Amino acid sequence: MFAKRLTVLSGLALLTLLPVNSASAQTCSAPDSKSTVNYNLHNPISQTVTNSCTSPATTVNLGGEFFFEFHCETKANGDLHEHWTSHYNLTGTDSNGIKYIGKDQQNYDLKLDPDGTFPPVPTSDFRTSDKFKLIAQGPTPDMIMTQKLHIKVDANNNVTVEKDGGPVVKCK
Amino acid sequence: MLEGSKRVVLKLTILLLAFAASQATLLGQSTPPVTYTYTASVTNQATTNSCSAGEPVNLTGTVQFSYQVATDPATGKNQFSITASNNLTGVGQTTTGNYTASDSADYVLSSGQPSTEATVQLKSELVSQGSGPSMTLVQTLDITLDTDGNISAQLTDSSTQCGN
Repeated sequence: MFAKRLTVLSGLALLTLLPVNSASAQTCSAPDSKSTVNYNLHNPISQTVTNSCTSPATTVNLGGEFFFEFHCETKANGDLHEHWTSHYNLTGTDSNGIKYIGKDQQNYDLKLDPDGTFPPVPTSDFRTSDKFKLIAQGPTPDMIMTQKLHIKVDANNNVTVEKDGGPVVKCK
Repeated sequence: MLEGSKRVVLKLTILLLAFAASQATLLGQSTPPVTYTYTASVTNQATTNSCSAGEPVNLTGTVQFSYQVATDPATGKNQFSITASNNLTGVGQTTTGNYTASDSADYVLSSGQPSTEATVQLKSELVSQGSGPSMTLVQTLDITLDTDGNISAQLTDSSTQCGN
């Protein structure tokens, strides 16, 4: 068994390195495995974004967490897949005192890529853009935030999540 | 003897410079990856509504997939870049009000294999044109594509959310 780690690099140059449950890459790659390997990461967020949906634009201080779940699964045909869920549990207050709540999630299923060794060890490298809504608590327009992520799983089952630039805000 | 060595060094230098120049020319003329397009039609597809204030909506329009296959310069692996965009109109099954949705999302998959597959979610605002509330439309897309530019893409689920 190898100790596994999840790494999150935020756009704010915040580096979080958290231990998670020990798990084996071999468990994930074993052809006859019916079990899954589960990981999760809670990453606290403290971030300021500009809400251009209000006039004039306001500054919103966000708190809460991004929470990532990941598990690996061997399909009946021997293919290895990862299931990824990004959770967003955020609250925010803008410079006018308006409160926002964001509770959303986004799911992915990806076929893992053998690393070229024998026996093959699954790896993954993908970029995506998670989209989640910040609901204004009142008549103020809601915000829709899009955050680009670069997610990698290496042959040692280390998972890294890197924010690819800052969040993009759209108005509802 | 020394002069002979100088000549060899000079010739080698010229050869190296010529090689470097040819490579620069080749790099400068490198063709961009081909952009492929595939459009999936959506006809009267019903959404599953998980929003207490919302309603099921029948959607019609398109989901378009634009994609490129290139080589990841960092890893040498195949890099599949996909943009999924929808352009939909809808009719509410309770209010008969109209809805529209138009948005896109980008996905980049790196793989050492000649093909890759993924199931992703495309989120967009389902904007009400009538009395019903606007909702978030979540479309589930199953995508398989290869280095020859072949794609299989299906819209397997459409649901609506209200947020919180």
